[in-house]
Formats: sequence, structure tokens, C-alpha cells
Amino acid sequence: MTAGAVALLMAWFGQHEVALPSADGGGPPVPFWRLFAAAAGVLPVLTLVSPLSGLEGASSAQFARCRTAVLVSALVFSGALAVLASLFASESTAAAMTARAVLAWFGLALLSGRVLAWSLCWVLPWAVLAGIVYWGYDSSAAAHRWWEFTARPVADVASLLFVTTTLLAGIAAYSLTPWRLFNLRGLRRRLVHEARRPGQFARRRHGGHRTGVKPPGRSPESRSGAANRKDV
Amino acid sequence: MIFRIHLRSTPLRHAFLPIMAVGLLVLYNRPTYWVGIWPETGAAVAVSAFFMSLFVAGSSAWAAARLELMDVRALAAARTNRRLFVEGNLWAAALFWLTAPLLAVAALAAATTAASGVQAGFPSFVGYGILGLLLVWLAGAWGWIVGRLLEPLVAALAAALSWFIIGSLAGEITGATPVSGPPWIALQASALVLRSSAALLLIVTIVALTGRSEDQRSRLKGAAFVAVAALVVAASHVALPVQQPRSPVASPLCVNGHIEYCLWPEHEKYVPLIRQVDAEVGAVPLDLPLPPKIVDYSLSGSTQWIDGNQVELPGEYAPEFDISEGSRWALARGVAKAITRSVLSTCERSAAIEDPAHHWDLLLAWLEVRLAGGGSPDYTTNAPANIQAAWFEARRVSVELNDAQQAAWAVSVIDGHQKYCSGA
Repeated sequence: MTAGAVALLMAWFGQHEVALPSADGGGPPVPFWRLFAAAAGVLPVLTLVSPLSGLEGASSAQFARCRTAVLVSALVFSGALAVLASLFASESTAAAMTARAVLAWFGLALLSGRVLAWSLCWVLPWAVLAGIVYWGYDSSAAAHRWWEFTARPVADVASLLFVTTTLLAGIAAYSLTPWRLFNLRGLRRRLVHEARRPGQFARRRHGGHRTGVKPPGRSPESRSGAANRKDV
Repeated sequence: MIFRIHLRSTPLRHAFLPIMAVGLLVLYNRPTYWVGIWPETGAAVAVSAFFMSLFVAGSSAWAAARLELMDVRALAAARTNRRLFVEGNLWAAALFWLTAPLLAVAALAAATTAASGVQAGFPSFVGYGILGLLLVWLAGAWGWIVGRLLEPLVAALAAALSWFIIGSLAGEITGATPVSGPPWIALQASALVLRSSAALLLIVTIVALTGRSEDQRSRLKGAAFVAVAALVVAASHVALPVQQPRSPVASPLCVNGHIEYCLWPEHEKYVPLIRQVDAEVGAVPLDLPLPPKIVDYSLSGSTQWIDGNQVELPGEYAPEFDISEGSRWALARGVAKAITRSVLSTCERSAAIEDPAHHWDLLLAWLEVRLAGGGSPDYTTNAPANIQAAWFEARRVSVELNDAQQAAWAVSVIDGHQKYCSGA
């Protein structure tokens, strides 16, 4: 419903241009559909918000698949509405630009949500949006900077690369569930231990055993917690 | 006591540093011509406040909707019956942490400008600071309203997006988001007082808003109160314009050199720049009839604002220059234009007779590049190609010829112009 509201506002109000403060004082006015595209990109990520997100993070693969399906359908729905709305609001190139921007905002929102909290997934996109509005235009060159992915021409390679990177980073952040992070940490620890001399770890943890004699029945590996627990 | 507990426990305390970081980045990662000019410093703080307010609105909504979002509605509903008291403390603690970043940024900006020792114009800094504070307060209030009334899941995003739109539109219509504070613009104290009072009313009334866990009737009543206060805020912003053109001051800051230069007192930091340009005026290799006095932009009194329109007044006024954002080239161009007018005063540039060699522009550009101390201009231009060619030629002369040759060249340009006078 909110995606619909955003799209309606975007279609109705999207072509209105407003002068916003910019660092070098000479930026062109910003049409509102660019702001709405940011909202359309962030909105799908809000489907991940849950009071039990900690528990859901450690969920079974089946639940994770279902959640991903909901996320992707929300993105398709919200993105399609935004593109449709921008067709109404502005000339035809805006639709492709909106599609590109929605994907980038979506990636940024995933990244932000994974790092902060899913309910704070809007923070990083909003920081980037503020940066784009304020520093995105270079008036000495009379052009938008290369990373200004909301206003550069559709065929711009730099913007395309930027958007792809952001989207991939977002997907990577999404797939780094707490469970996978935990496994990665265990893997790292195990690799570090194997690089060390045997017995060194036990000596450090058990200061009493100055002779380096291991406590009976306990190998250094079994003390390394994470690596061990992973196999449970 | 309970306020202090909220102060220490509200999640918004974590927003202090990030929001302050946004403000500081916006303040310092830009041309820093505002340093040393109090009204410009205030306007720079107001620009920071606009960008901070985007996050203030979102954070405020997020905090207001957080209890609901965590699905502890039953717990929230079962709390003490001194609802207004509890709500008031929650809101006050939130507002404290949302306002603190702006105050920190304003204090740093003030310290930066205070270090330059300029005193004139401090009240304007306070005025622009109040405009910034109003932005942050209204953003916080708006976020809280959205967080209390809207679906908690989308509250933060909705507040951040809607505030972006409201803030930028309000800036366009009511001047609530100034981007610069030149000394020839004065802030209206009456507008500031009116807007602040309305904002305070909204901030107090917001306590009447109840969470979604409360009953329908009290929710409607609270929303009605807040709607009225919000209308008062909107009316206060539309009622009076906050920025008005300022009349020339009676005692400007004047610098005596080869010419007398008068500045707005707030522009004290440009005195060394004026002296540099005046030294170049003295170094021009021929005696030119100089204008006795040149003044800062809008300081000559030659124009007056009547009903929002700038009207040229009849009579003789001192020529003006505009040190646009501390640019030496802008100052040099203003002074060069005044000198060119003075040199060719007996022979006004004719509109009727086209001068193929553009003598007027040759002299202007030659003086400009000399006064600017050489180099290439810091501005871009869309002047016609033949005029730009004349400017380029004059700059070439200033580099390639020695002073005696340049003087002879200038005399030939002045003589050449005589053929194209309007009186000829």
C-alpha cells in the first residue's frame, strides 16, 4: 500500500523541481521523482523488519528462501510502480534512470539494514541521497559527478558500474546471515590456529601450565569454541 | 529524575554523533568563504541544519514508533496513568538528543569565525542559527507525529521522505532554508519571534499525541490538537517574510587608498583583499582618471526595493563591486568596470554604433587582469565570442608586453574608443 502511495505521489508530484542547497552553490534544481525513487528502493527492505529478527537470522534455509522471495517480490512490485509513475511524471529517459536508481537504493538499504538494523535500513540511502544533493554537481564542469547515479545519463558507464557494485554489495550483505558470519569467524579461527605452533594456544589460555603440558583429554582445538560448536 | 533516565536510555542518544558528523561535513566540506563573516557563518549553519533535519525527522519517527515496532503494545498500554507526564519526558529526551548536534555544529562554526576577530553582524548569526534550530525542531516534531500516527514499519522512511519534501518546499516558499547570508539581506526579528513561538506551541502540543495502543477517542483528540498547532506553524511561516533587503548602513567600513573603498561592516575580512587590489590600481602604468569612491554591493543606495521589485533611483551614485564569495576576480572586475567608466566618462559606449574592435571591453579586461594580479579568471562566461576574443587579447597584452608598451597600448585603446562614442 505504501509502495502504491509513493508511486501515486511520484506520478502526481514527481516532475516538480525544487532548488536545494548545494556545496558549490550552483546545482540545478532537483526533480522530486529522484527522492521518490530512493523511497521505492528502500521500501522492499522494510519487509525484513521483525521483532524477532535475531531468531529469524538463525532460521532454516526454507524460511530464508521464503523471506528472500518476499523481498524480491516487494522489490519488483515497488520498482515497477516507481518506473510506471516516472513514465507519467517525466520524459521517457526518466523511467530507465528510475529503474537504475531503485536498484542502487535497494543495495544500499540492504547494506544499511544488515549493519545497523533492518528498521534502520533507510539511514545509509538517506546519507547517500544527502551527499548526492549537496556534493553531486560540479558547477565548474557544469556536470553531475561520476558517482551521481540518479542524474547521470542512462548510458553512463561509471554510473552503471557504481549501481552494479552497490547492488552486489547489498546482496552480499543480505546473504551474510548471522549464521554464515559465525561460520566464517570459526573458519578464520581454525586457520589461525593451524598456523600456530601446537601447544602455544593452550599455554596462553592456561597460564598455570607453564611446562606446556596439555590438560588431559582436551586438545587445543576443542578450546577454540566456535570451530567446535559449528559441528554441533 | 525520570527525564534523566530517559535521557540516558533513549536510543536517540546514539544518533547524536552521526547527525553531528553530517552537519560538520556539510559545514566544512564546501567553499569556506563564510569563515570570518557572521551572517554567512549563520547561513552555513542553517544549510547544515537542513541536511541534519533530514535525519532528525527519520530518527525521531523511528524512536516514536519503536515501542510499537517491537510489538510490546500491551506493555506500553499498561504503563502509568500519568500519560502526559511520561510522554512529555520521552519527547523532551528525544528532542534534547536531536537538538544537541545542531548546537554543537553552531558552536564550532561560531568558534571558527570568532577566531578571525570580526565582530560586526553577530546578531545575524544568531538569527540564522534560530532558522536552523527551527528546521531541526520542526523536523523532530514532524517525525514524532508520523511515528505516532503512521504504521510503525514505514514511519521512519515516510517521515524522512515527507520531511525532505516539506522542508525543500517550505524553503522555496517561506525562506526557511537560507543558503547564504549576504550583509545586504536583513533577517526580520518579528518573523523569527512569530515562527519560534509557533514551533514551541507545536512542540508542547505534541505531548497530546497518543500511541496506537491507546483508545480511538484519545488518539483522535490528540491528533486534532496537533493538527491545529501544525496549521499555526504553517501560517506563521507564510505570514511574514524572514529575509528582507537591507538599507545601506550609515557608517560603512571605508578603506582609503588610491580610491576610497567602502564595505559593509560585516565584510571586514576583505580589507586585505581590497588593499591588494588597490596596490595594483597604483601600479597601473599610466595616469587614469580614477573614480573617487567605490562601494560594496547594494551599499550605494542607487536601488530600492518596492513591493519585491528592485527599482533604480534617479541621481548620481558611487559605483559598486561585488566580492562574490571572496573572489579576487569578482572584486577586480567591479573596480576595473568603475575605472573604465571613469576613463571613458566623456564618451559613453554607444549602443547605436557597433565597435568592431571592442575598445571598451579591451580596456576593461586589461584593467581586470592587472587588478586581479594576473592568471586566468575564476568564473565561466557565456558572453558573445567576439567580446570574449577581446578579453583574451587584453589578457595576452598584460602578459606579453612590458609596462611601457602596455601603457602605449592602453592609450591607443582609449583613443580608438573615441570614434564610437554615442555623442560622436
